[in-house]
Amino acid sequence: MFISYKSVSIGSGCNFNCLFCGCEKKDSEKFTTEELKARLLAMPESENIEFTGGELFIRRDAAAIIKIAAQRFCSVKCNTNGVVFAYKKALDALCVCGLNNIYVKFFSTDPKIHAAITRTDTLKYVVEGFENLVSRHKQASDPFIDKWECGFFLATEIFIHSMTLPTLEETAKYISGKQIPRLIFDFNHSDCASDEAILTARRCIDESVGNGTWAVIKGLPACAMRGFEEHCGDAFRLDRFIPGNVFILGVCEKCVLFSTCGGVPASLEDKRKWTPITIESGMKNLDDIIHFHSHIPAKLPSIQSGARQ
Amino acid sequence: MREKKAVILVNIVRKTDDRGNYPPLSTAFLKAYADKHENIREHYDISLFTASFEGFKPDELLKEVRDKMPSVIGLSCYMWNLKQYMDVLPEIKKIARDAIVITGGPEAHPALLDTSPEMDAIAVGEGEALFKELLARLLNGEPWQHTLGIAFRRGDGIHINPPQKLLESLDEIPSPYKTGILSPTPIMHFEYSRGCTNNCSYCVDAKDPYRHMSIGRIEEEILFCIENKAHLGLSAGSYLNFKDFGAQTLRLLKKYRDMGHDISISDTLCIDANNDDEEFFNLLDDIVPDKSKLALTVGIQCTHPETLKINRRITKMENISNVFTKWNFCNMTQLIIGLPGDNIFRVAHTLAESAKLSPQLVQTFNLSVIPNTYLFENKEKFDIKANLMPPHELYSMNGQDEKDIKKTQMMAHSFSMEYNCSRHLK
Repeated sequence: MFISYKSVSIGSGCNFNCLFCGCEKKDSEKFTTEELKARLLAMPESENIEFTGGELFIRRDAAAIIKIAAQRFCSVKCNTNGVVFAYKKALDALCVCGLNNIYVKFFSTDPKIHAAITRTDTLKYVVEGFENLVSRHKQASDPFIDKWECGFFLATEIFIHSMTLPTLEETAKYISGKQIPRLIFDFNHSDCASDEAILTARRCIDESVGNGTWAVIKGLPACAMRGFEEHCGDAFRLDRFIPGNVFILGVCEKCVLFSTCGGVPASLEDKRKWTPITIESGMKNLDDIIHFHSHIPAKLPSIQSGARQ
Repeated sequence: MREKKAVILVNIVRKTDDRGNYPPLSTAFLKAYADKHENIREHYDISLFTASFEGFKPDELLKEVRDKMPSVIGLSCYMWNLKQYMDVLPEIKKIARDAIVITGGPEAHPALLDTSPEMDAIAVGEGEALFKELLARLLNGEPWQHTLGIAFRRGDGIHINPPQKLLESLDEIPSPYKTGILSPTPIMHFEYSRGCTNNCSYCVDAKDPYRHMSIGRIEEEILFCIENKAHLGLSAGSYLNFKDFGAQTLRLLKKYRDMGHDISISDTLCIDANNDDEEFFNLLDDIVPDKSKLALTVGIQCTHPETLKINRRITKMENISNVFTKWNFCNMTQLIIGLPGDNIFRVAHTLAESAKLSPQLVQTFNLSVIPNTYLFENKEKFDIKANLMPPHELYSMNGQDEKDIKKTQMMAHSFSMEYNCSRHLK
């Protein structure tokens, strides 16, 4: 949110084998420590970086990599499935190395759904790991602990998919009840970005905010979120390009947010009647939404025939 | 020898960093000013009771009261300590029934008398002359209720006396370090200025003009720091780079550094980024060898033109950006969440603009509608509903209901947690 991270892939090795993900176990050490280190050292120190994968924490050199990155860069974000944090000692050791900005992917609190998606029987570790992270976050948020010397950011992403949708509310309730700083409903690459899914996510957002967890939707443009645009996660991104999204010919170019919009998930294209946001639409706070978007670098739009990526 | 009357000045200070609690400057200043008057010094034994916010033990204060049986108890009140005072006051009054309890500080407001029956008076405005006058009146057998600047109960209501005149010069207050009221510490904080040239709606400093200690007095404090191998702490003031005052102060420090003394500025320093005085920043760059030991704090507060106008605030982002990019200090920005005129999108814009400056820390503060501010006095104008008691949190205002405000605060908090979690390590 407002922070632009440069991706650093650690390879596609993962201890999960998710249905809709190309990561595999076999290349967990695709890049050697030295190769990764060289890549990190070649990047400017002023960058914020994010480790993408694969799963960083199945690497034997994860602690060393975190340490190098934490010492070098302004901010180091780690995306993870959270399993490793079931081992509290691992969490403690990684925190000592400078780990303090975690995004955990969460699919469902239902063991069957989790197992069906990840093709592993790991939910109990994910939950345990998440609980340990929450506890770490709460400890770091103690008002009597000096904010200069510690801090631990924790966000959770729930992937919106036809398999996760049935337990979305239950899962979101469990996560937001922990009062973490942010819960993200991820519609990118969703196979079910329907009105029903959006309404369900919206109910979850209301409940999350009530529980004290800030919630946003990622992967949907503001026009799909009328009435709750403030939860539009992509509007808060500085790097607005969203792979896999499309623009609708004859509609998107009429929208006042077009030059900074991240587009529409391809799966939504035929399922919704899209209408552009215009000055005449009378949307609440539209001036302020446009003003906010003014800080996002404009893209060079080039809509070709039909929808394009 | 005649027995002196006891006075206890209580100060619960806030722990703000790992370099130790800030000293009880406000109560030390009150004592220093009162004690310089012979009749007060001869007849009163003024003692300070100081505790940190998290280390305050009511029993220790009660024991102090029991042992000294003071005729006056002064409470230095801030948002963070008022509740602690209110909790312990009934017990204090049981012990020292006849003591006059007077509460002062920038956020002390006459309305407190409605909520705390144990408080006898509120000191409105600057406290030094007021406190000295109160003690003198008691000494002379005159009604203390005639003291200028106090509020007290009269009949069914609250009466507020005409205000005290502000001290003509802050030099009138003797140094609490040199008088031995405060012990020397590795960083010696002192209040070098009061008031402000700005007139921001939410700020207690807005109503008084900017006054600073003379350069001669600053030099005395510097020499005392040198004698005690301490560094200068200039966090307790509005901002240093006021006209030529900041550069003059830094020139003095440079003079003594050039003479071989190990003297520098530590901790945090508030600056007015709109005053991009090249000499000031050059000197600062020269004087502070370890840039991580000094955090330059700049109040951005908000960026939307309408919000700035409503809140009578001047924020020029290009000037702040110049200062941040040109001078490689540890920079901190401060933002206020929930100002009249703002909404979640405007706040989001302010956060994004602040992040673009790449400061080491972005501090977000939820708006507190603090007594003695323009917003507090004009609640009806902005349709503000806020807690009258600390932390004076905002509930709702024009066009923003409780849910809108809560959402904005959560969004800002979520951002600042992510932004700040790593940068302080550098």
